Amino acid sequence: MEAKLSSKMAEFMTALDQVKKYREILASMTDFTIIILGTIVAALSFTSVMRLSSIFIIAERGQSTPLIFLFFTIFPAGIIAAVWRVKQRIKSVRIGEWKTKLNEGAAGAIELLQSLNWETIFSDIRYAKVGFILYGIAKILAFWGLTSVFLFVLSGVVESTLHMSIDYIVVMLFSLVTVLILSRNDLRKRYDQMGRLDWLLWELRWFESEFRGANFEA
Amino acid sequence: MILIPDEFLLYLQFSSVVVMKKIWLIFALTVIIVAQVTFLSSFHSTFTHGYVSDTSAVVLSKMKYAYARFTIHISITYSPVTLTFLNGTQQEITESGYVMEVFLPRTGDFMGNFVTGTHLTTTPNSPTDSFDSLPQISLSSKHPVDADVVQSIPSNFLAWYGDPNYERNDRIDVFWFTIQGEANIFITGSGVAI
Repeated sequence: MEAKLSSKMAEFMTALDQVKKYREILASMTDFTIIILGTIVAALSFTSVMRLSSIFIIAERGQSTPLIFLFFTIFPAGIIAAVWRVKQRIKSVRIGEWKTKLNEGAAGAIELLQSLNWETIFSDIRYAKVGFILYGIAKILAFWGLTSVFLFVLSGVVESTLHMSIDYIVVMLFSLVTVLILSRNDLRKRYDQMGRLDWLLWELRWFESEFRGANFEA
Repeated sequence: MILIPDEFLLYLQFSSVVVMKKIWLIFALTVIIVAQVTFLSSFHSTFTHGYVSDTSAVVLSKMKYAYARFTIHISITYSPVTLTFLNGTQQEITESGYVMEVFLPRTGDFMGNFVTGTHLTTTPNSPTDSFDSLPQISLSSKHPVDADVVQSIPSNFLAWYGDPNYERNDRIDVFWFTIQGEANIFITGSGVAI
């Protein structure tokens, strides 16, 4: 019985650790936004300098290719840095601190339950859901931007070599569809996780009301 | 009475300061992006190409308040072509791919949209012609740089441009040269109105 209680408690605390991680996603969205905006500022500054130099400085022919290459590395670098930052913050969340307490057996498990702040847990789950959705949208938008830039370069090459004109709206739509298809597994995982978080919230509300009514005696 | 540890209050204070700083940073970056986009909107570009034979002209024009740089690729087909510039200088081109750059500096101030908002069009042939099949110099505040390749030019080509009484001379700059012979011409131009 004690072993069963401990294993159920471990499962529950692991789920709460997962919620903590998802909650951190929302907190790290400011960092994500700052890095993405910084990337846009860097790309626009680079464009301004390139455009000014193309008018006021007689650039050596052949120099433009490495400059264009450099320009198109800014976006992937920014997006990779933003995603990396979010992952780092999720990784830095302290988890499993309850394990030593749980090793004490049933008494430890009950003590652990009594120490939980239920309202904080419920609000954490709600924030986790928002963070999960926002990060999903931000990631799709960032990869959409990246794919669009890549396809614009490709369409420029196609236009100059095959003398075909490509509609920019078609390029944008095509890149969006491509990103959605490529991230379909991620979207499905997020959708499933939303359902699990909802389920966890309802189960915990029920458990909390039962737990409050229970009378534990040592 | 609930006792909140001082460390927790300090943490809350610290984290809210950090978040506020980050929000200000996001705001500052957004303002910078808006400023950059506005600055980039003052850049303009133009492109034209054409096949010329006989005596033709390349006409580069811009609003006086803009800087412009044009790159002209002249690709001759069979025989050499001769370029004649405004001051009478002649240059014979024998190589198959010849590239020249023209920089037109800013020579006047932006007089406001009231003056430059209207679309200025004029035929390179003569401003008094009521009808002309030649391409037109087409300038506006949204398109302050323009390039044209004009085939089979008449002898009085751009004669009006030297006229100090011509009303558009105070708003536009025109640079042109003639080409004698057969060639393909590609012109890319970029300008900035700052």
